[in-house]
Amino acid sequence: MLTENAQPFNILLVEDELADAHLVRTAIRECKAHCNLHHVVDGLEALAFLRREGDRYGSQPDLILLDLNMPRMNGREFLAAVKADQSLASIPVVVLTTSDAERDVATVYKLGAAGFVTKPVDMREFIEAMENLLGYWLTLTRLPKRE
Amino acid sequence: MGKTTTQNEGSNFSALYRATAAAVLVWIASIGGFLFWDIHVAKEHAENLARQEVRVRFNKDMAFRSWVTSHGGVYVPVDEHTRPNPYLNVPERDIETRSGKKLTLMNPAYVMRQVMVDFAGQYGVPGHLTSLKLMNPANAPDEWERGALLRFEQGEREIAEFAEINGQPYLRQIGAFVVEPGCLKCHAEQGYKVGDVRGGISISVPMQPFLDNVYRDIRKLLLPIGAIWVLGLALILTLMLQVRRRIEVQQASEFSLRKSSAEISRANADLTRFADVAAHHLMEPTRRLSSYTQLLERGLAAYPEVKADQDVQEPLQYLQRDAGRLRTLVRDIQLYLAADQPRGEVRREDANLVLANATQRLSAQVQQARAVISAEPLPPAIIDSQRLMDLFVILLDNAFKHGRPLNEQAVPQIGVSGERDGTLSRYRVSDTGPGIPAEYRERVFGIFETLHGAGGGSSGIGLAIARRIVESRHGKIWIEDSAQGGTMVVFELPDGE
Repeated sequence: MLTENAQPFNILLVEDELADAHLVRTAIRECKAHCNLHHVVDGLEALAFLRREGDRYGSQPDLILLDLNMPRMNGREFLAAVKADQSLASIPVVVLTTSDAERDVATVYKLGAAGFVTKPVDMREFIEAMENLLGYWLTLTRLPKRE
Repeated sequence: MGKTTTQNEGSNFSALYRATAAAVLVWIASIGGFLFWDIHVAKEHAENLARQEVRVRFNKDMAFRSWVTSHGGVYVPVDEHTRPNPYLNVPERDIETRSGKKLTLMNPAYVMRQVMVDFAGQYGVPGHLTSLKLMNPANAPDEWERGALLRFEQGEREIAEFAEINGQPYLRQIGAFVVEPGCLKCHAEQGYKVGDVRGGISISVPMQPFLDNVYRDIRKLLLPIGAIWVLGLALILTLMLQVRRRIEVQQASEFSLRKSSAEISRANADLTRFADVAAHHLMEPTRRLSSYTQLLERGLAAYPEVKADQDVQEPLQYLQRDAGRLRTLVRDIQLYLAADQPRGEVRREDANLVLANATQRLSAQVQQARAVISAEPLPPAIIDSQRLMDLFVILLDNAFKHGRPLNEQAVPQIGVSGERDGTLSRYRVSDTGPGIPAEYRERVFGIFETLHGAGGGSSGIGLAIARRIVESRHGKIWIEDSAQGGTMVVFELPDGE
């Protein structure tokens, strides 16, 4: 159902936990979305990737899925850096985390997040959540044109 | 904090010192007052004695003078000491007896003067006969007597007063003597009529001996009274020191209590924080354990013969069950830790509305349990609606799970009621189940206590959470028998901030 777009959808996953990255990848595969997933393990690596890709290929991801608790540069710092960078600020960032603390929710929206999703514990619910999320961003929403 | 404590101690002691000073003042005033009163009474007594004495002497003098007057004077032999009175001009002032003895007439004034002068030593008290119209200048009145004589002319007849003579205290009494027929014999020439005031007899009693008595009595009193005074002061000071020591001990123990209570609450806060962080970090692997167990199960779907194998199926089932249990556990720990903090504004909440929302949220369980919930009108409570909702959800959920009637056919009846009681609101949630034996009614509020063994999707922390919510609002929660013999959980939420 999510395969209508001819061009694949580029997603950058910023997640330090390989097991969680694997779950996201599995969920995306399960819901058969037509997209490329690139995985980096922290904010610094993500920034480096975004700047390198932007320079080299001129193709930025359509969506960033961001974990909050990571070593070196955590999700909040990364989010602030992205929104402060004019060439990156237009990329929607959805926070995907285990936390459901009200404080975190308010903070990331203030920092410019496009969404806050708590990872469901149940695998079926997790897949459903990814399906909804990608459905929203791939088909329902119009995104800025890739540079 | 330390500064405030010192200030408090200072003010406590200053109150004690003020009270002590007041006690000392009252004590000094009482003893002083007593002494003053005693002196006053003793003096009065001495004065009365003096008055009595002066009156006796005065009356005697008056009687003596009257006696002389009544005889129109008396004739006495003339000698060196008793010369004819040059101021007395009457016929037959000087007479001679047949045997040639010379006699002269002594008028009352002369007699009195001689007696008073000659026997002053026996009298002990100087007496005096005086007048404003003198015949003998030696009888001239002194200042006080002149004043008294002038007052006699205004109609007074007797005056007794304390006055000083040569700087010494005296009780002085002066009585008027009135012109009688006998007086005119000598005084007619001065123009007196019968009834006129002729002059006065004055008596003066020195007060010093009486006062000396008073002072001696008082000096005798001074030692015991002084001893009592000192004893009283010592008692007051001892009491003050005792009280001060008690206050010091109390303050010291209060201080150490405050200190240890601050340490306890800090340790408690640390532990809570630790538990919170630990639970948060436990949640991630717990979630992944669940997810991967499910992924494993899904992956095995491609290998039905492996999945059907008992050695695979059973471990997988346990893995799933424990993953779920771990999830509930960590989730409940987080709920428990958060239960003492309000989630939203603490205000007057309509409990009826909150109960309706809770029932709505539990609609699946209500249907599954085929339970009937009957709610009476509930009083409002001061709390945040989120946690009031949690309370009702926990208690209703418990009633569904543990309040099933023994008779499987019977419909579970869950009753919710409540009332205001002074400044608190009381709520009851009762079921028609088997009830909880008295010895377990306190235990079920402990963490991870359940009376029904493992499983059932409950970690046994619900009542502990409920208690933490209620106690954070300074309320109470406990279990009673319901009217139908089931369990009735009662909780009270006091008003206040």
